[in-house]
Parts: sequence; structure tokens; C-alpha cells
Amino acid sequence: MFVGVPSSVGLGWAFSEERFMKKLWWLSFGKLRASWGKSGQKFQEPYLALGVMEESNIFNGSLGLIPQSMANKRLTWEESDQYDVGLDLQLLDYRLKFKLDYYYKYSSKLLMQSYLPGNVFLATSMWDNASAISNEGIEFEAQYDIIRKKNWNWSVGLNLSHNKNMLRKTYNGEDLNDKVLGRPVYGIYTFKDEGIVQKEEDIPMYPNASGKLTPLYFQSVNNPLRVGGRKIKDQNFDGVIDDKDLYYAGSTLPAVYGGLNSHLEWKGLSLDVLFSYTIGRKVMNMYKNSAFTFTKDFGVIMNYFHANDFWTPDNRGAKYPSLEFADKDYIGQFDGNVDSNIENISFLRLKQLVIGYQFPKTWLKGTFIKDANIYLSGENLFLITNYSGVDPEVINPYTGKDDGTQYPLNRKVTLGLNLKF
Amino acid sequence: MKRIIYLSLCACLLTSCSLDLQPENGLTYSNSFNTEKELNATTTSIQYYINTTVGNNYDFATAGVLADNILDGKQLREWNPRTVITSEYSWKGFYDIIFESNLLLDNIDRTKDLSPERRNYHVGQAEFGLGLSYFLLAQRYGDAIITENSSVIKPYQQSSQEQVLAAAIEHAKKAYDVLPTWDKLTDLNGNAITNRQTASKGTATALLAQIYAWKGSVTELYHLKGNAQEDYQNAVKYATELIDNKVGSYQLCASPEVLCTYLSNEKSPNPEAIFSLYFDKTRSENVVSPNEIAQNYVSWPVREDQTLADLTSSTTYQLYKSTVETLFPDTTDKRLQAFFYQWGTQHDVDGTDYAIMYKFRKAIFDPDQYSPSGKSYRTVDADYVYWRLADIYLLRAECNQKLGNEAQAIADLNVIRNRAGALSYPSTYDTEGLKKAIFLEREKEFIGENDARYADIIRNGYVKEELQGKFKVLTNQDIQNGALFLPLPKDAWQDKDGHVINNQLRQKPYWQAYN
Repeated sequence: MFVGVPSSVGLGWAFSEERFMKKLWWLSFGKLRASWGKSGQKFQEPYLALGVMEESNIFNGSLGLIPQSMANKRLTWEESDQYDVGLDLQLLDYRLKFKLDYYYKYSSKLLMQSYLPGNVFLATSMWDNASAISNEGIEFEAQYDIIRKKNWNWSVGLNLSHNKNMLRKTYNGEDLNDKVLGRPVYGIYTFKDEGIVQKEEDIPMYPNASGKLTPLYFQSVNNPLRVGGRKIKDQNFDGVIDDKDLYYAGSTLPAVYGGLNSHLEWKGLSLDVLFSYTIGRKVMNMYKNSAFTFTKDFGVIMNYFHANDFWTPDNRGAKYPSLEFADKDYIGQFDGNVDSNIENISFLRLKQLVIGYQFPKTWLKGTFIKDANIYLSGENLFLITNYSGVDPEVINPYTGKDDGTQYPLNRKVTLGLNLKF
Repeated sequence: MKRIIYLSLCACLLTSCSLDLQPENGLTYSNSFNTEKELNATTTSIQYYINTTVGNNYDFATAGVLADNILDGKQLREWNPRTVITSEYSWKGFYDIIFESNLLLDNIDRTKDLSPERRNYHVGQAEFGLGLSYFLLAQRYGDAIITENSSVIKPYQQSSQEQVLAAAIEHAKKAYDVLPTWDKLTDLNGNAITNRQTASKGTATALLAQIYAWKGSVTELYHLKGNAQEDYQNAVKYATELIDNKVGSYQLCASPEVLCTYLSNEKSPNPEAIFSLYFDKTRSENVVSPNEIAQNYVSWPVREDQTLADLTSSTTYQLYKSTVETLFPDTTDKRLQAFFYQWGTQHDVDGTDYAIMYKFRKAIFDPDQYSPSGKSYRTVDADYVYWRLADIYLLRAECNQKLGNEAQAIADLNVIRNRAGALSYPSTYDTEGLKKAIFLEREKEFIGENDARYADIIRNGYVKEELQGKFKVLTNQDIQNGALFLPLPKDAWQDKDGHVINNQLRQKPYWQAYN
């Protein structure tokens, strides 16, 4: 049951209409806005509050039915509170337009599976409105009409966004297995690289259960760290490098992203260009490194063996550890899952380019065609980036790691004709 | 204009709409109980959970079975507290039965066109499930949680033994009132039900007899509030109804040999079986019999893929011939020939003469091209007969003996003795009194068949003499603190990440020291 009424309130002040603003001849229009809204949304899984049943168990040839998860009659809609502050400016006879927005959205009562208070309920979990996430960010938009004449006009635009989110609440006030309270919901979790071990004295030694000193090892005692291997920081000092030593290395969200557009029209010909860009995104290229993890699987090797240098006693300044660690049990050595592999990338992509020609009405007089235009469009035509991999746009936005399993976006060229009868 | 508004307002007030939504493409509580066929799916789940939970009594079976050598679980058999605490036990299976039964009872009113007989059938299955689960929870864990229904979510507190047993009796009595006798049990298509797992009036009666016999014994043992004598009388009353065929037709098999053929032949229902866990062969190609005790005793020749020499390395519970000779001093007892393979011949392995268990004679093999015999053993082919009429006779004898009615007790004991072709009580071999004789008769009758020995020992107070290891040195204070029960299962108060989910539960004082 949704208790509460979805409501919103907005205020705007067109300050350019005030008398004291008339002096500013270049300000055509200006407005300050603020709004607050509360809305609720249904969750995607249907019928949860009614108690969903599933088929299970067979006895003597008959099929049984049991509840899938404990029915929670207290489930309500997910609620969002959003605050927004904005500024609209239009200058120079409405030629130059700016729009700046700051928003803060708090989504609460999000559905989450929480543990039941005991094991006497058949099911092991129940859905509850238990978690909350906050999102805040800035959006900026600018547009400039460079040429505004009867026969031809040209305007360009730019938009820019920045977003940050944070996990605010969980059902028991503690961190979840993969998300931490007070941190962005998605982040890069990786190992800390402390360089390649050059001397035996640098290997951390830990006393084991019988008091004998053993070197730091990877996952099992059969994989000890030796000279020539990459030293990974043992975050919990338990003497073994495993999943517990992954640490949060940054958010997967970019610093700024947005688009550039341009629209040019001259006597029926039109040229539309759209660029999209991202600046300052942290990603990790996993497949270039994992090419050197020698397993029995036969696959594509995405890196040059001969062009890379591996540590040997004569080549101590090499980029990669010694080849003896090229085994999948030695995590963090060759699989690329180290923080020295984090790249801070930016890219600019020509997303769309359309050249069109609208046939003049005089040509079509006499035919049954009312309107006709012809266009040539290209998508994803070129990419400028400092990323070492193939396509930065298809990297998993949740983990920030490019494992090479996604196809890069393809380039398309289309020729088309629109006819209106 | 005004008239249009006025008329449309009236029209709105006179109509109504229902805001209850019935899902069209999902199964929820509200639409899974509309017809009897759907209701039956929940009844089937109750039966499934009974089938998979009740027979699983690993800890008490290991501690209590009559065996000279066991292959694994030796520390558990000695009741090493640290071994017990870390072994696998959980009461979740019982609460699955309880939850499904409560779910059925909470939702049965939604079912349309349910005739009173069918309603009684389904309610009876649910009430029996509740009664059986609370009884076994009280037997194995002592204090346990009594849940209110299938929808309340809250951290429950434990209820004491007495309350759990009282709840068990209440539900068993309800089942007793509504269920028909076993010959009148039909499924929803009208076909007769022949498996003895589905509860009938007789099953509920047997449950009541067992609960009262247990309740009387633990009232004395743990100094609980209650009247033990009254409980024994109730046990005798319900046992009598069963024996006199007032709640269904049950007969003792003619002889131990006939009993053994029925135990292994599930085609014709065993006339002596009152409550069995059904061996559901159709469930999958890997299904095994619910009777783990029988499986642990099985060896050559039932295992056609083995020889006698494999007994010491692959049979989990092993019996020396000398032990069986001490148990059955009377050589006229036909059970010696029936329960043990070729009793007269020697079966020597590594210098010791073993008794070969032959109560369950059929096994299921799967073809296996890699094994030397061409087949691999899967399971013994038998239902798990949990309670049979002989059990009820001996239970009545035990309760009568505790009430002081020696003559009736001796009469019942002799019924079983005569069926076995043995000498009647008192004979030259009965040197330890009537109470011990009845207990020994239970041992003789149920050897290699079920896990009841531990409960029999507790009821009769033979913990120090009949069990081994730490049992022998338990003080009275230890027993009062819960040493004879299993500890509170970890998953009852902790989730799998170690967070405390229910802080109202308390571990028993005896086990608290070893936590």
C-alpha cells in the first residue's frame, strides 16, 4: 500500500523581467528555478506482496508447491525524493542559451532481499523495502545560434553532465558483500600493486599455525611469492592473497560526459553532427594482460609476446613479472587485476553525421509526392581516445573492467530516401 | 446540463469495483488454493518434507544403534561434545513440514467445492504433519519454537519441552478426529491410497501413543510439571485402540520370516505397518530408500557386488555373532533364522565371526560397466517402516509396567514372544526383571531396522548402561542441562554470514560450555 501522495512543487523566478535587470541589454531572458518532488514507483517483480509460489518437490508422482520467498504484506512502493535547482539564461537576443541544473535525488524504500529472523519460515529470505541510494549531479547545456538568416542557419550546442551516487541504507545497517555504505554503488575493486620483487628480503613472511615462517602465497600454499613476482598488498595481513584483499580503487562513473552537436542548414541542404564524449573515466583493460596467463584453454592471444618484456635476473626493470608466474592460480600477476592497470581515459566519438537534402516543393509540383528528402547518415564514424583497448564505450559500467567479451560498437553508413504521399 | 451531472453521479455511486487483483500469469497464495488440485500441491509438499526429514536422525542413530563396530562417527557415538556441536544437524526440515502444514490450514478456506471428506483428508494430513514435527522436535531438541501460522514474521522465542509436547498432542488429536481409517483413504481422483506414509486415523493414534509414552517418561526424568501416570494411561488407551483394530485393521505378521518378506516387498502393503516413510522410486533415478539404518547394516549377500570379506571395510554398522548370541539367548527364537543370514554357519572375516544382517533382502543395482560385478549398488529396496504393530504392543507393555499393571504387560510381551516362536516370559533367560525384558524385546525385534533404540533408552532410563563414551559419565545436572538433546542449531539464530538474526534463543546450558 502506498502511504503518501506523490506530489511536487516548483517555483520559478524570471528575474530578467524585473525592473532592475532591464539595464543589462545583453540579457534577453533569465530564470531561476527550484523544485521538489516526491514520487513512487512500483517495483519490477510482480506480486511480491501477495506471496509468490513456485513448483518444487515431487512425492509419489504429484508435484508440490512451496512459497518462493516469504510473503511480506508490509511491502510498499519505492519512493524517490528529488530536489532540483536550476538557472536558465538566454543572452544576446536569444542567440546564446545556457541552462544549468543541480539535482539531488534520494531513492528510499528500495527492494532488497533481507534475512528472515530464523530458519522456521521455509524460505531463507524475504523482500523488504530496506535500502536507499542517493544520486546527485550537475547538468549543463549551452546552445549558440551562430548564423540566423533566412536561407541558412547554423547552431551549435554542448551538454555536459556529472553524476555521483552513494549507498545510504541497507536492511541491517551493515555493508553488503559487494556494496559498501557511504561509497558509490559501483566501484572498481582490485588488488594493490607494490611492484615486482627484486630481492628475497622484500618478500613478506608470516608464521603459519606450527610457527614456521612461510612466504606470502596466492590462494593456496602451493603458490608462494618468489623473486620476480609481483608483490600484491595483503590488505588483511592473513598471509594469503585472495578475494578478501581486493580494495576499492575508485568509482566507475566518469568525471564528466556529454555531447556536442551542430546543425547547419542552407537552402534545403542540412548537415547534422553529433559528438559524444567522456572525460576522466577509470577503467581497466583486462584482456591485454590475461593473454599471458597460460592455461590449458586455447583462445585468442590479444597481445604481442615478443614485444613485451618479462622479468629475468638480467632484466630487472621489466613491466611484467617473471614468466614462471603465468598461471591462473597466481592472481594479480598476469590477469590484469591490479591497480597499476587502471587507466584514466577520455574519448570523443563522432556518434552521428547526417547530410540531407530536402527537395524543393517546386520540383514536386505535378507529381503525387507531397514531400521528399534524401539523406546519407553515418554512425560511430570515428573515435579519438587514449584507451589501450578497442572500444571504451562498451566497458562494463558496473565493474569498470573490460574483459574483451563485448563487441565494439559498429560503424554504420546509411543512405535513405523519405517520400511522403 | 445539471441533469447529466446528477445522473452520472448516481451511476457512479451505484456501481462498484473490486480492487482485489487476481494474478493471471503468476502463482501466489491467493490463486494457488482455488481448486482441490491446487490445494493438493501443498499437501504433496507436506508429504515430501515428511519423507525427507523424519528418517534423517544421523546423530542419535549413530549414538544409539546396536553395533559392535561402526566405520564412521566413532566420536559421535561416544558423544564427544565437540564432535556433536560441529556435526551436521538442523531442525529446518521439521519447520518446513510445520510451515507447509500451517500454510495449508491458513488457506484451505479459499478452496471452492471441497466436500467435507476431502477437507478432512487435507486438514488431517496437515495436522498430522504438525503433530509429528512437534513431537520429533521435542524428542530431539527439547525446547523448540512453536510458530503461530504461515504469515507472521518475527524472531520467535523458544517454548519449553512441555509446551512443545502439548502442541504436538493438540495437533495429533485434531488429526485423530478428522482422518478416516486407512482403508478409506483416497486421493483426489478417488483412487485408494496404499502407501502407509499418508496419515490415517491409525497413524494419528500411533502418534498419540508414542507422544504420551515419551511425555510420561520425560516428565519423570526432567521433573517437569505434569502427571506421568496419566500420560502412561493415555498411551495405553491409544495403543489399545490400535491393537483392537478400532482405528483401522492391522495384524501382526504370522512369523518373523513373513515379516522380513513384507519388509522387502513393498508391492503388497505390510499388514503390520502403521506409519512408513514411502520409498518414492519414481522421483528420480538416484533416489535412495529413506531407511538409512537398514542401508548401513547391509552387506553380502544382499550386496551382490561384494563378498563376505568386504564386510569389515564397507558395512557401516557391524555386528559380532557373539553379541547377537548374548541378545538372543533363547535359540528357539525364529528371529535368529529370519533376521540373520544362515545363522548356523560361520561367517569369519579376519578371525572374527560376524552376524550378517538379512532383514532387508532386496537391493537396487544400477548397471555399471566399470565395476567387476557389472553393477553398482544404489540402495536397499524398502520403505522405512517407522511404527509397526509390534512397536505398539511393546509400548503398551512398557507403559503398563510403569503403571504397575504387570499382568497386562506380560501378556503383551508374550504376544511378541509367541509370534517369534520364543519362550514366553518368564523363562530361564529372563534374569533382569520385566522392565529390562521389555526393553530387550524391543532391541531384539527392531535390530537393524530403525533408529528407535536411543529413544527407548531415554524412556527407560538406561543411559549409563546401554550407551557408551561420555554417556556413561554424565551427571544428573548434565542431563537436566540438556546433554541428551541436540544443541540449538546454528542456523536458527545466525545467518550464513554470521550475523545474529534471532537474539531470543538460548543455547542449552550443557552445550553452552562447548560453544
